[in-house]
Amino acid sequence: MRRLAILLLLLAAMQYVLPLRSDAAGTRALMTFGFLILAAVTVGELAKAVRIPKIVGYLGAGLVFGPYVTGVFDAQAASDLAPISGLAIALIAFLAGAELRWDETRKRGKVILAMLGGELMLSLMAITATLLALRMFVPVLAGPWPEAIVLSLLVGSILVVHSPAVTMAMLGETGAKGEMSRTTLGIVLVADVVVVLLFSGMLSLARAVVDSGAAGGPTIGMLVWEILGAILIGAALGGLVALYLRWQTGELFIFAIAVALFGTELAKAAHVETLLMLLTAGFVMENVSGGRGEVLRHAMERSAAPVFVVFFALAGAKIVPGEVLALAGVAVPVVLARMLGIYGGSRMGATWAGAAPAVRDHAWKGLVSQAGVAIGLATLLAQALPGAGTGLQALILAVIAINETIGPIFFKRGIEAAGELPGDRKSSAVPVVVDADVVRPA
Amino acid sequence: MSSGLLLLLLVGLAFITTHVLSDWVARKFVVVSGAEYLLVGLLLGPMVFGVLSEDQLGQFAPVTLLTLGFLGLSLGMRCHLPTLVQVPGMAWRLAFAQSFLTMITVAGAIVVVLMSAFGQSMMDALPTAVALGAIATISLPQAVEVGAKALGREGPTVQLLRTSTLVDGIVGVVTFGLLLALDHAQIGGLARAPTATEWAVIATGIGVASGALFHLFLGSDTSGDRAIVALGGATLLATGAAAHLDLSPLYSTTVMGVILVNTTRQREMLQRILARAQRPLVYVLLVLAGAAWTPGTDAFVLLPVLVFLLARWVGKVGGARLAARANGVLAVHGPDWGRALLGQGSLALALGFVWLRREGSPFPDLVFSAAVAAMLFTDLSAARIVRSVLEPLLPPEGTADAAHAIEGEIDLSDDDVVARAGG
Repeated sequence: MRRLAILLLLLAAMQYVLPLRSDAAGTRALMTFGFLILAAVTVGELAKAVRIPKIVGYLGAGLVFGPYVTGVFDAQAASDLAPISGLAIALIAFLAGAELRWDETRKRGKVILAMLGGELMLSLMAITATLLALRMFVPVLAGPWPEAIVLSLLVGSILVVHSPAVTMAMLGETGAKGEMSRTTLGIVLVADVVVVLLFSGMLSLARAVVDSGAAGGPTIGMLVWEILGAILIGAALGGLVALYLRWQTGELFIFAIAVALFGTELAKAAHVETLLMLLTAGFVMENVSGGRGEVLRHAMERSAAPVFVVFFALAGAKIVPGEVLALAGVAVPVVLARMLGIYGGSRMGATWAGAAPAVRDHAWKGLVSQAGVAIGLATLLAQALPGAGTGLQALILAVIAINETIGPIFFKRGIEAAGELPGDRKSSAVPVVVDADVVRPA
Repeated sequence: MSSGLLLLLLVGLAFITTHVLSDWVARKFVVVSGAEYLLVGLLLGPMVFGVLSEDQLGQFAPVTLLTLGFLGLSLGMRCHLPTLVQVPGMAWRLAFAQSFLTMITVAGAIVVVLMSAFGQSMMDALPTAVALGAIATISLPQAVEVGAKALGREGPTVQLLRTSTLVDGIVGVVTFGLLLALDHAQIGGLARAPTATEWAVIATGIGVASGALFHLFLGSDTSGDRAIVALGGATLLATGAAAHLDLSPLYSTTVMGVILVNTTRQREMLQRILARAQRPLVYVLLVLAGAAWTPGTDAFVLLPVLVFLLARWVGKVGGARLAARANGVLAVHGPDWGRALLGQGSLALALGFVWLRREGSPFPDLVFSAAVAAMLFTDLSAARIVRSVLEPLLPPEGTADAAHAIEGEIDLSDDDVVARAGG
């Protein structure tokens, strides 16, 4: 009842205040920002009450109140808030990097790489095969076979990506701690780097095969700089943050946001991969600050809370229900094929690397989600290949819309099944990796 | 340079200065930071080096609006009623008297100047005069804290000054908020144009509704994280709504702050969070305000600004002396206690900035220039003035005089306790 009262009050504010005047100096964006924070959290709580992850509620709030359903806020207001999404992605990357401790990462490395290799390969193949099988329903793929194969591979290289944002948010929401959660996070983060390389390679191939009409593409040198430069600059930024923390550990609330924003702008200015740069910065900060990084991590988590909520709500607002329904005939089989690829590939890799049973059986459920990174790559595709890319973008977004909705639910089920929720009886015996191949309960 | 990177550099600079320099400078030199950021802004702005262009200043509008919202909220959150009822009634009388006398003196002087020297009609001159009157009342609370801290002593005059800075803020913000409601332009989309009273009710309603929303949202959950989300969401909504309707965001968020501070169980935590988030943002606002300032050199701006500064000095010092004399406490607080309220502060500048950016404000450059000039002339020396005013009034700690001073304070409050009980 209380939550409904909040929503009614918020809707009344938006309904009666916004139409009175056209936008004046960003006031509409400010109001929408406030509205989205409160409305999305409220819907998230309603979702939690029926055992659905909160972030599905945030997405739902964005979808329902967004421009394509009720239109409480319009596309312009959502676009004005785009910097918030950028900030959220930066915070997520930094926090994710700070979650990785060197010792732990080294010990878990073999399992992560084996599972990642397996699931990326199988899901890429499964998506490509499904698209080729259904090419008569996708006009852009109806051309000659070589072109169809290359474009399908290109779509596949985008759709294999996971969502660090959803993974981090789910781990934060559930408070999950354990072997399966940590391994899933590791796979998701490393996958990001691999997918950037894979996508760039596929895009170059597609440009060679398809007459895109778009000028120029990234050279090998640019690609190498994008990755290596991100690691170098990220390490320097992380080192500076660690240095600052030696000297000053109070009032880190604003500092946390400033670091994320500065990192984003720095990455843009230096033309390096933003996510990888901030991931590296977080990783270096955590591992060289001698334990001081934890204070900043907590400050960042606190300051990020409203930003994450709005990020997911804005992601929900981008879903166009009409388009998703129109493309469902192709999108749903692609979603299923991808899921099958992830399940088979990760299981295969886990078995080969001797991962714990909980990891082998449940980690794949944390790899279904997709959000910001995939949307960003789809946008890049549309820009790089104005003809074919635009046609494929709608299909990719439809698949992402489905995955971003069902992904968190799958991951939550996986965490529950692995017994890694706080207070869970099974989680009291959290397995600790002693050796890459030997796992025993703590 | 991109707007984003520029804003970041500003925030970064403000952040480091906030945490590293300002506290140290305040302790060491008894100076309150603020005016120097205005000068930095002026240098960065289109007037001098042009690092910040007009377009970029426009892009920062949401940040400046949010800062205004935080400033109002912060002012409102100083109005914790259980704490305020412990303040002696005499302090309230003196504070309100000097505040209103300052406003009347400044507004009157400006009306006279605009009418006599520049041929403005009474109706044309009045909104500008009231806006300047509201700005003039505001004084700098940090100067009182820094000045008193430099002496390391407390006493009835320090409490009076604290009460006065709060009253000055409330009187200034409320007057300004009501002025914007009264002087509101007609807007489309309604069957009939709301009256001035209705606009005032709407501005107040935005604050009340946002405060209520905060509580509804928080429910029985008292966790800090949830309080941050609720505070952020409600402040953004209130600020955005008030600014969208061309009302004063400062006024609406002040109302919201009053509601929050008197109803929430996490008062101290919220005040702490607010202070941390607000300080660097205020410095950014000052830099942007400095950049937006185009100081006029013609007599039309120069003369009224000089009159404003003089009338404000007369209002503060004379009004405070008059109030103390009329209430028979001149010996306790001294004839010059009003000098300790001469520091102008960022809240006054925020009001000037709202006036400058509002469409259709009469004489925007004049009002904003007056706020800027007052800040530049008074802020750097404000804490030292407070110290010089307090020094002869506050006996060293542990002496018999100090004990008498405290007794005097208790005596003053007794009447009011009785009066309140009787009322």
